[in-house]
Amino acid sequence: MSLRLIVLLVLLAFAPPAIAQESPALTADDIIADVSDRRIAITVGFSGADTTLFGALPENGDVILTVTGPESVVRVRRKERTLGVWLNQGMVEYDKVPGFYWIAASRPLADIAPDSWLTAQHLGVDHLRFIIRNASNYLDLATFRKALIDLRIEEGLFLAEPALASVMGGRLYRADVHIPANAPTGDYTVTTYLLQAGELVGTQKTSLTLRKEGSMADVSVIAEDYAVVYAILALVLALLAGWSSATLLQRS
Amino acid sequence: MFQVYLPIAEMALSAPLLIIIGGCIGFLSGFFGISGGFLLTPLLIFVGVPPAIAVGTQANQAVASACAGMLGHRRRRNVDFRLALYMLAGSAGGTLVGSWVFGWLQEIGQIDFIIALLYVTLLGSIGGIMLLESSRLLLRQRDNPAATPPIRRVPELLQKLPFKIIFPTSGLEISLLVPVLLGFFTGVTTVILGLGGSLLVPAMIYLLAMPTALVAGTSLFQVIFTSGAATALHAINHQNVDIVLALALMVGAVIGAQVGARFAGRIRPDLARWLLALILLGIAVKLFFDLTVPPDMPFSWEAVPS
Repeated sequence: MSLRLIVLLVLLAFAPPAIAQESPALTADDIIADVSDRRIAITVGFSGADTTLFGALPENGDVILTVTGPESVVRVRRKERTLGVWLNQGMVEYDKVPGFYWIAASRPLADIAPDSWLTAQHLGVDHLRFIIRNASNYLDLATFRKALIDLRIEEGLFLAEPALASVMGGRLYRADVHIPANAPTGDYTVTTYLLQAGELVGTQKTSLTLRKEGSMADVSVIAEDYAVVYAILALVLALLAGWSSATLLQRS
Repeated sequence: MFQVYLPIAEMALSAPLLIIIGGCIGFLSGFFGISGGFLLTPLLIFVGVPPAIAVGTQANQAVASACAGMLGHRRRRNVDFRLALYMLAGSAGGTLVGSWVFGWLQEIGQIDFIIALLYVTLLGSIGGIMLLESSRLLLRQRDNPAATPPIRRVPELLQKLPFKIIFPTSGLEISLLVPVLLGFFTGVTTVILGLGGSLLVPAMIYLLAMPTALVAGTSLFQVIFTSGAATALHAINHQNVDIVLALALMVGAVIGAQVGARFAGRIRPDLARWLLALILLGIAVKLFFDLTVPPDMPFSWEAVPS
């Protein structure tokens, strides 16, 4: 838990009840929401990170939180039987698939807002919007979509069922997000939706960056920008490893 | 425990697990003279490494274990460098032709099918023939321990080829075209199938009739160069070599390869051949089932560079 979180919690605990006046629509300035780490560094020992989203709820209100990872183009393939052999045949290509998707709410989503609204806002894995770029067959898109979501859930990159944010004293919420080691690097968007009686009263977007630092960053940069140097390094390393083992083991 | 982050694969794996996997593959490499890629690649995919990165990194690891194994064999004077250099000349040409064929197959969109078919037929037939031959020999020796193994000869067709030269280390007098053609064939199959030395080893035993002790070391000398070229091509064209993953595998592999090379001299050659045949045949059977049995999860996804 970062210092920022502690300071905010202390401030909120002593805050005058003024913010809880008659509640008009909240403007961006009125929303108190943050994330404990805005920058997550990947180093050699990185095996995933935990971060906390926290903030204040509107009077008798609810919160829905999402964390969305960097988007990329994804090709889903399906093995089909041809001439008695199972080979990749069917294919659907999606534009802008988030590399990570996490969602939490202060109560079960169905109790907070109607399904039509959740669909319109693309909230929850089943409502995510994937844009189809190319497909071998347009008749079976739902199966491919479900398969992609299932694969990502299995890899820990998508959250199947929304998590429950814990609410303290009816005014403060917090929720812990686990970002696994296989999550893509880049900019993540944290979105906060504040609702009252099923009506959206305010949203806020914050960003969170996951990036390689130190030697991990160097390796990636050399691999991508100086591929020839990288190839030579890889070969020298392999020959050196082979040679040194031969020399060391001969002595022993 | 002891997770290590792999910067190219963008995931974390247990370092001890990688060292153990590397050790086993290294042992097989040093013992049989193969690159072990056809075992390591599916293992890496199984623990979650993206397939493209598994293929590229496997080649890098193979250089280390081939180097360690080859040096182990050289200490026992079991490398025929002269023969290996002729094979290398052939495999340089084979690599070029192989990558041209690979591109052509990719264009007509049937690469997966051709690769699968080649794998099953090549590994299946060679493994099967080796298993029959070595089993017969093992059984005969069990019945009559005094029996000496039959002397293998270079097939007559290959003996008739012109440009004969002498390879003193192997005690062979043979046309230089034979090792060049063998190298060419190895180059083609390495690029298309990633088979490293696993086809070269049976070819050296049955076609060149080389002394068994020399086969593994000479093949490994060859693997250093073919896998080295593959590593460079993967790193430069596809950026799919994860140096951290390769390093973790190498730590185990170079030790395993040394131990494998040491063991290779102690086991009866027909028994070693029988074991290699079993491995090749086992892979062919597994691939055959992968192709014909309905998969549990027919779907897979891959990132597309946009």
